[in-house]
Amino acid sequence: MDGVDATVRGSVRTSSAAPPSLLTIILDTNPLSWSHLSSSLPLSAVLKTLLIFVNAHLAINHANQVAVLASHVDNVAWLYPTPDDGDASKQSSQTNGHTEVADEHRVVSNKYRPFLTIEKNISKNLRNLLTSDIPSAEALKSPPLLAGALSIALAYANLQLLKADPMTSDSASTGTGAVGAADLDAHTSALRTARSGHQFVSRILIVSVSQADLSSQYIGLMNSVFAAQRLNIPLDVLRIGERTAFLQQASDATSGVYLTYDPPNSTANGTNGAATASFSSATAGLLQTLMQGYFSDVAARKLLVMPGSAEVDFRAACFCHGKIVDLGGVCSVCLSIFCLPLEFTSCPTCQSPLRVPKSVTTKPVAFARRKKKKRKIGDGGRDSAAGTPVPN
Amino acid sequence: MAPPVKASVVYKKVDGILSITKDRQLVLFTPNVPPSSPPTLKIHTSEIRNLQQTPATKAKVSVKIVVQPPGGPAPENYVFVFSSTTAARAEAEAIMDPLKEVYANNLKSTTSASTPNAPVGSSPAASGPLAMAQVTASKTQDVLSDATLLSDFSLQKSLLDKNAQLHQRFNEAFKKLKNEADAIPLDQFSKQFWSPRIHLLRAHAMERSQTQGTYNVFSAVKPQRNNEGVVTLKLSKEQIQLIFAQHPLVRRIYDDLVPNRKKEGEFWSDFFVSRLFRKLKGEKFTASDVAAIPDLDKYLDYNEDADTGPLFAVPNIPRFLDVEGNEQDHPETYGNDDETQRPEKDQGLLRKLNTMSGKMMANVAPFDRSNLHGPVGMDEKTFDELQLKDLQGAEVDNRISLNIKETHGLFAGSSARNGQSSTVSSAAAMSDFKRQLLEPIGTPLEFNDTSKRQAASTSKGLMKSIKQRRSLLSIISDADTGLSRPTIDSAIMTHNTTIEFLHYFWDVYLSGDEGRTGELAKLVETLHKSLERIEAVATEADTELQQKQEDQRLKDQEFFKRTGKRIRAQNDASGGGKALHDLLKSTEMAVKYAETQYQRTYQEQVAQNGAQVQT
Repeated sequence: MDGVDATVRGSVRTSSAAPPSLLTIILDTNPLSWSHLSSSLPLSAVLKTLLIFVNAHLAINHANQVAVLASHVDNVAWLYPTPDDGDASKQSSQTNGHTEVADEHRVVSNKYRPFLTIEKNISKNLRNLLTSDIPSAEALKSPPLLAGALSIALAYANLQLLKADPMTSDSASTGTGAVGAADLDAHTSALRTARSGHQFVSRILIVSVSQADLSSQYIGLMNSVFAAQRLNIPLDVLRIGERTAFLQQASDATSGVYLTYDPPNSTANGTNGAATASFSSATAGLLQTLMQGYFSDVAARKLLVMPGSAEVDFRAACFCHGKIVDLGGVCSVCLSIFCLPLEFTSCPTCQSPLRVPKSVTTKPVAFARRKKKKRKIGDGGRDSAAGTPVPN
Repeated sequence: MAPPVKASVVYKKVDGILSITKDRQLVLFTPNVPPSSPPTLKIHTSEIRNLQQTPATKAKVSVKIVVQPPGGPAPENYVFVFSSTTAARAEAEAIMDPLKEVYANNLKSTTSASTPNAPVGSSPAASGPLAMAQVTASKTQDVLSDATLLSDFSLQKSLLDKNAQLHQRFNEAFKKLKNEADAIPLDQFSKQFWSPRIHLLRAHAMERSQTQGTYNVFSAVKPQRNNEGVVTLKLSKEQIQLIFAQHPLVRRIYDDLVPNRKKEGEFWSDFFVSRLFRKLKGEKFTASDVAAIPDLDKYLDYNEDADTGPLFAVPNIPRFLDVEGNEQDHPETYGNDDETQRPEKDQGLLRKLNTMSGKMMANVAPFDRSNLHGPVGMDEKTFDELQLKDLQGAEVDNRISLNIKETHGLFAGSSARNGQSSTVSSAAAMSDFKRQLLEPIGTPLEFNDTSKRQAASTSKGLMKSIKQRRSLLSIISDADTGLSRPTIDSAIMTHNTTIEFLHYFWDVYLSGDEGRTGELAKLVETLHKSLERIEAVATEADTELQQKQEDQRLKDQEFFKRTGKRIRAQNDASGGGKALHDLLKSTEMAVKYAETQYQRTYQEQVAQNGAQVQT
């Protein structure tokens, strides 16, 4: 019966139209970082710009979907769709009528309803985020919970994919209950075929502002990156401020776009009104970056040359001291990175015993010590060829 | 059977008795103290790989037995010192003689055992590949080790001969090294050259050890009809040998008939048109097709395979492969319709070809059955492979859980977590944040001229990065760089050799071998010369550019004279040394990095050394 059902669906689905696309945005909402940016690019301006971007994404294809997540200080919160509503997909752009939100606020008659829904949701959820808990001073300084946010985003993308293509969900659920590794493989390969057939594409955009050490979430982040790689979901990163090596590597690994945006520092921010005017310049740059750099979806990217620096710093920070290392050791079990020489015999992260090959620990020798030197003294400088040629 | 041999020896500083059992299967060492203790050491004589003995001139008599246990990682050595004050030498001889005998037998049996079913009258033709296969089988481990590969010049040479590109690179690197650092000897150079390419050597060694086996000779011998309609047949000496090897029957007939009843040529011309030939080849024929040749036809009923015995005397053929097993187990399920499933009925081409293949394979030493002491027949792995698994349920999930410990803050120096300046207090930050959120996000954005300019400049930056990316994706072409093809070629060549030298440099530098510092210094010199070589190519490119511009100028002038019109000067400044340096920027960077690394280490170590000398 399943087979009959599936074949019918398959025949219906073969259309040459652009595949529906899911855009998931992860917004870093660390108050400290945003407060730092308030003079050049305030959060409200960024939100407005993001809304324009989201609206454009929804407008280009009626089946397109959007999800927005806030990676906050000590939790990850849904900004859109609001999870309390039970079925999140009800709020997706196709369903126009969502009276609850519309009733709360005065109805803006000249706004496209889906745009309005998203706007109200994000606004409401952000306020909830502020009133829910005041984070401690220590927590404010901790890195944003990017690994958690990425995991949620990937899970959501996967869910949407299964909804869009129930055939793969059928095959995944026919297992024997406990999902084994083989089932997972079958599942992902099914996803891949779905992907290659342009059924449904999705991408994740991370808007990152915090300058933070992500090494405490390294394993979670790496797992997310691998998962994204496997699902063909590019991780786009828009970095406002200084660049971070790790996020650049993550986006490079998933063939996403990594851009840094440096907001021009507003000189005249004396009065409130003047400041708002000067923000508009920074905001315009941001909007331009978003629209030009991140607007194309996976299907379109195959045909385009994407922007972004060609040079990626592939070096990683070691876990033991947080230093960026050129040459380091990697635990083969949990992929933790350590600088050399190793100070321990078992991996401090996962307790697996480490064994370092001799070739790694040998120190380079450019000058033959003792033996030769002694002879040199004894022979009265007969051997002068020891290591003399030092080109300058 | 020899009587048991005994001798008093010292093994690992323990006095004891060394003895060989009656059946010569075991060598036992029994310690003297405590009395009547069981033997502490048993050596299977079949596992002995080498025997060594002190020369007869020495006073101390000792024996070394090298044993390779089956499946063991490395041979083990046992050294026994003969402790008898009076007859140490004689006792040692008494122990060694039978051992030597057994050892010699072992050697023979391993050789013959690897072809347990070789036909009795194994032919000279087959012995070539056969011997080859045995040598490779026994030596595979040694042949593929890094050290052997690096020292095997003939192998390297043959690889160079085969791979033209590699050969060119080898020659370039060698030439440069010879010209500039004349002191690097060939063997050192070749070691440096090959050590990063050891995988190529290994692959080539494997490839070379594969030899072509014998082929079905009858299918290769074909009579040819020339223009006059005369049928000729060419038969080489090797082919005749192969025929004899593959078909002992033909050899017998040949022995019977030539030269008493037929001449050599007559025999072969008769043979290839005979019914016997058709039969041996597996072709079907009727009496009317082929003319009778009485001398040969009398052998027609002779069963060729009768005296060779079964080709594969494997005691247990897995039931899946055993066609005869079909006959025994369920004769009714395999009807007469499928001839291939019946063992003895078919005498046609299929069977002949099968037998032929069997014969050829029998002459090749099996590579996969190296363990002669393993269980006979099907082992556990084969059994597992043959099991039908499609009806089994899903496999149990065997993931290994990873226990992660929070490493953060374990070590000092990781306190600066959020790099943001902490001048802003958290309370102030929160209120600031709230204030930012108070502004309704639904209001439209307003842009002015400044913001338009900003957008335009951002867009420009993005386009620039897109163009940069595109240039990386495309291959270097003359048009992009403004360089001529020969210059690009020489740049590529310089790049290749430089990278080559960088390989050598890092190899030696990171080896940590004090003895190679001289070599290292020379390599640094060579690397430095690489920069000069790049410079030389750049100069070349510069002159080329000047030439090009000069040509253009002359052309313009001529055009001006002829037409009186002046062309707008095309200031085409692309190309030249700058373009070349751009092209080889990363190469130069790599060389410079290597140099600084070397110099730093060098100076550090010189300083260290000086300090040591003073103390």
